[in-house]
Amino acid sequence: MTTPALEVERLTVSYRRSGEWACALSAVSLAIAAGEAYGLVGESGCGKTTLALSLMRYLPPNGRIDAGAIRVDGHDLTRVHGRELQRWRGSRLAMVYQDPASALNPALRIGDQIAEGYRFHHRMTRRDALRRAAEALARVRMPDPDAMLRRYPYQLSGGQQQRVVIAMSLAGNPRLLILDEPTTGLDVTIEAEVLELIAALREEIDGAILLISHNLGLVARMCDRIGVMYAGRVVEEGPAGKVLGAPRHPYTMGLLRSLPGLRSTKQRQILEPIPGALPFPGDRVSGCAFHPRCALARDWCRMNAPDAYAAGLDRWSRCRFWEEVPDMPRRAPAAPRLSASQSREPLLSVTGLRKTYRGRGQHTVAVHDVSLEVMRGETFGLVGESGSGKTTLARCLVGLTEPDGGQLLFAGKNVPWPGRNRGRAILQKMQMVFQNPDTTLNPSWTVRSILGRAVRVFLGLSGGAQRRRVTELANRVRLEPRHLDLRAVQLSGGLRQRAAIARALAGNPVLAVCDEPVSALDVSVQAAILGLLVDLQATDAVSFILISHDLAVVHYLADRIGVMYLAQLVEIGDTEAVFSGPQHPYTEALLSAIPTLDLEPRAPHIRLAGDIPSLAQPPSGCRFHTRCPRKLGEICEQQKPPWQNAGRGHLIRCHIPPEELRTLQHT
Amino acid sequence: MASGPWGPTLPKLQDAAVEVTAPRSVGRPAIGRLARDPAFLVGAAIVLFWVFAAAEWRLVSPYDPFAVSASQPLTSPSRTHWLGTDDLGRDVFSRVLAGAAPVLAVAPTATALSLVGGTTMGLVAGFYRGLVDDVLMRLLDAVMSLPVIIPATLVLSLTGRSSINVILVVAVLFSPLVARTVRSAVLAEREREYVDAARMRGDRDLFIMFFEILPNVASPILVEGTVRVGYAVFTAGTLSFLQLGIQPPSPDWGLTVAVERAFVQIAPWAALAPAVALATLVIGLNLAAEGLRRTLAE
Amino acid sequence: MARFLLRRLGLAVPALWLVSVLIFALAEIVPGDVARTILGPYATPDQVASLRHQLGADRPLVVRYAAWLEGFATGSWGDSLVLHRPVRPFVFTHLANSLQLALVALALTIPVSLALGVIAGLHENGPVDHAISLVGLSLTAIPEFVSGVILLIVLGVQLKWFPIVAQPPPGVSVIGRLRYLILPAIPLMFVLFGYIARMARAGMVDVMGSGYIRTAVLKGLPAPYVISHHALRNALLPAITVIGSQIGWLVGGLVVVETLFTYPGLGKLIYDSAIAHDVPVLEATALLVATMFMLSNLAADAVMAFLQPRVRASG
Repeated sequence: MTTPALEVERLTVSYRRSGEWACALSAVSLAIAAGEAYGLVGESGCGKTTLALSLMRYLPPNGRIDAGAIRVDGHDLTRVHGRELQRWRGSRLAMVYQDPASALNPALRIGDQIAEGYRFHHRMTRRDALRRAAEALARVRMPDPDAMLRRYPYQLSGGQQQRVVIAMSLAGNPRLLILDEPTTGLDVTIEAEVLELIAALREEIDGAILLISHNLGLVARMCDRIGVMYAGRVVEEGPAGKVLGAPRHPYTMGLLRSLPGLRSTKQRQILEPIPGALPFPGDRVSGCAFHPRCALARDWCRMNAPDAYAAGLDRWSRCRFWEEVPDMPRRAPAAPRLSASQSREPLLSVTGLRKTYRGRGQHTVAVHDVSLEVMRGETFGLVGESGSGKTTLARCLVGLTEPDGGQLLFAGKNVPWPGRNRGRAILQKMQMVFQNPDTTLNPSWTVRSILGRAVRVFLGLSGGAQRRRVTELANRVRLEPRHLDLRAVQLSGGLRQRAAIARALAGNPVLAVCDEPVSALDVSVQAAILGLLVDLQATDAVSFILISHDLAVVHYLADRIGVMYLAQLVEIGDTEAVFSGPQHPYTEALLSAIPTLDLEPRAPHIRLAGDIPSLAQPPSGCRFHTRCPRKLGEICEQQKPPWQNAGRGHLIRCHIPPEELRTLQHT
Repeated sequence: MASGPWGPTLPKLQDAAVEVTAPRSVGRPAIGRLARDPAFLVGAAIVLFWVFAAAEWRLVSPYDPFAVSASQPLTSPSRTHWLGTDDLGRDVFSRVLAGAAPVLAVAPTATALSLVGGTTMGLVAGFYRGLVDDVLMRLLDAVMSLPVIIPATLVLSLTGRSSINVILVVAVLFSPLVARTVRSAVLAEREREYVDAARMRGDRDLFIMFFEILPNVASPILVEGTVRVGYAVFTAGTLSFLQLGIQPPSPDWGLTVAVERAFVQIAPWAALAPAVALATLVIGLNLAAEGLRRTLAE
Repeated sequence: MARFLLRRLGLAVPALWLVSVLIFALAEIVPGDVARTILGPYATPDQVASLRHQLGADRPLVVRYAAWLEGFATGSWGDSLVLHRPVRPFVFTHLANSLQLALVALALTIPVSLALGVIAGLHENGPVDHAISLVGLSLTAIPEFVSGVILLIVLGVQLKWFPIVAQPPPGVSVIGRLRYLILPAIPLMFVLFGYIARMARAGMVDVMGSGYIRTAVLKGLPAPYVISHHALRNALLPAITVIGSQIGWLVGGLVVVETLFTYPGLGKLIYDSAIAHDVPVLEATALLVATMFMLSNLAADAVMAFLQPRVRASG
């Protein structure tokens, strides 16, 4: 057997925090062959980023490698220092990570930043290096590479910036390429582009590829083998399809059960969160690290740290009882609760909503003539990428932003747009849950005071009645009484979001707008919040407007969906109808872009050409025509497309009639 | 095995790697940490020494700072007079101790006033933005575009030289800086979602400014305040030196340096001692501020 | 870039105008009757009225203000009430002196402060950093008259290295002048060092934690190159702002140092004219200082914009 390109042997890494050393990686071993793509998945704190940085030998001053070896082509990197390490980095080791904007120096031109690598590692002159840089840009499919060389990072879009970073990493033909959450933060369609690029470039890379992500679907699509990490250890490893299709470790199974796939809906499946919480590096747990949260745990697990057990051909699991994993008992009842009956009576009706931002001499239309309805007791999903206008729309609905035009009817009554003109009676009925759990609660207030104020202001309660109501709210979102007297900084992301939901519920709203309520949370925590939302709808008949870029979440929760592109609604209809087709070409591309866990063969990925156009200069006619793979021709450039009816309230804004779309999309 | 001596400063990765996903206790309270910070401890010790001197000089000083003695002017340090005597035969050491009182009366008061004024302006400007912000900021820019000494000199020479006037002038001239700091902090906070949530409760602007936002900008205000006190001592001392503030026979340090400067070639101690005293007080205040800033930043 | 600077100018001019109003108010309105002040309490009302008319002080306030402003802009700054000479020439002489002192102080301070600040930032929380920060903190905290007096005594009187009256005789060479300027420059250096080094340190710490430094290091680029090519131009930005804002102080705020060392600069001129109620000199000098302040900030902004392509382009 040839030497693997990367071999990690019992790597142990610790950090010093507040004077104490905490173990972040515990005897991690893995091997990646040349040309192989290995996916490393796990949630926050599992150590995957630590592993990546250890491989690059880039630990912060308070981190150290305690033990173990890292071998690239046989050379042990833990023994490499100084000049030699410099030579390794940039030529044989390369890393691409999240947030490409921060990876590029804003004060230097792109060309110079790429050329640096060539100048130092290959001793080229500046001119030669720039030429190679242009070639590198062409390799990553950058349009007009020569012009690109002279640009500055701020002039590039997120997708382009990431391509530049990838081009830089490939400069030295690395033996090990590490990609750490390379597409997190990019729009879905752009993400798909970048992933496709990486997949195409694999042919050219001789070395090993390590792809780190929290997104199981992404890893499933891109990688040959997968390792699942938990609490600083790899707990399962094997071929991607097998690990994700038939897991052999309770944690992997737990993760899979908590994720909404593209086939699951709230009516058919209950998402099962993994109970408990993720451990910190350095938390000492006796025995198996996962046992406090494991459905299969028994006394043995508490007292012994499990080895790696072979669990089939070419795979292993760090669970002694791996054979029982397929039949792992569920904690929740299999049959979901029936939701309160929905009516076809519109609760909220928006007509002709318009919002324009006037910048310096620039007009940016954030929302352009949007009309939609939300019924009682239903969840309406609003989907779109950056610039689609969905957040602006949401803020206008709840009164935080004042639009320039349009009408709002709520429960049959005309409602003024600005929040301060609505009066508390209406405000309490239409509330919002925000995206960022870190800033959604005032850090100086305790949860009790936050909820207490909402209760007092909306329900006029004080004293004992107020306290009782606060406790009741906490129970409904499954916060424990002790959480009430804590401040946001003392709570985890999931708990903060629950408190935020409780705050929104204080006045018994009939409509709650949820703006990306779970996107900032860990996978295992998302399930709990989604489940909470489903329950609340079932018991209290609260309607939701759910804004998300995650189509799987939307598919799970939403009864009806609206798709937005560049400040306009392009499609609206029942969830099943939209997902099964026919679809607006943009929706079609969105769906094909998501990496999912459905391992059945799917329609080939639809590539969208170019980047999302600027909102300040939207394309003429149909706004999607610049990227539409199904563009008819001039009509799309010149005429605004009409709303076409695809049956039963499913509307598509396209020049192509629905039946034709259906035919086109089924081949 | 670290990255080497040139290892660049990296963000604290364990914080990036570990999103808090479980309830955790806050850890040692901030006050405990403060008490362990060496800069803060040294600074606080110095400041406390002078506070004590300012409060208790009547008990502690060996001689009466105001007792003029015609027989022994400008003597060098000796057993009887530890720092010698000044041009009117008064004991320098006693005058230095007593001089802490006027200094410590003026500076904190001026700072407190500037904090109040500056915070209000910063809150209003940062919260409302738009025209109010623009106008206010231009006004503050205007006040700040002259070095403090100039308007201070103008006002004091024209309206009268006294401690009260020094306090008012320093307070007015320091407010813009405080307002700037508060405004930046407020600008950041007002974009946060909890402010939106407060609006969604129907809370009014004033409530949001003072109860939602202000508590969260308190810590920069506190640090700014501690730094400002140091500068207030600095500035008030300079104004006294220019004889624009408190008048003789006060043992105020700045004033003393100005008066004794003429005798620098014969008896440097008389001017040196209050100068050094002033320096130590300002250093102490700055150290304490630095310690405070470091602790609150964690 | 031009658009950016124009906008900055547009923002600065209203502030400058407000300053002029402030100065006028402080100089002419607050003190009350100028003529009375000059003539003293024993002058007759007629004499006072006649002098007032002569000075133009009986015109309405707004007219006086407008006249003064117009005069300033066109260069006719009136005559000194004390020296009975045209104001402008000797104000400019004092300005030249202040600029020389400022130049010496900056030339001596900037390289050292930036270098030490950068070094402190590179070794954040290490012993070197603590040492530099402590020294900086201490030096900045010392009021100029304190350090000035100490230096005067030690270097001027005891050791006699430098002259204690900083007035170079006319006709002395540039190097000769330098000798006179060093002693007053030292207290300024102390104060400046603290500010500039602190800003350089903060900027460095900030930049070294950024993503693009990580990228550069992970590309295998040598550390000195990373620091000089990637880090410095971004790290020094806050320090440049500080330097720009200190020039105003250096030109007009050095009342203490100029008094201590008897140096004929603008600060001392303001102080003397305020005490003497020499209104034309006072107003002209104060507005000149404010203008210098605005110009130096503008210059700092220009340098900043030059170093940041994004700012340069957006205007």
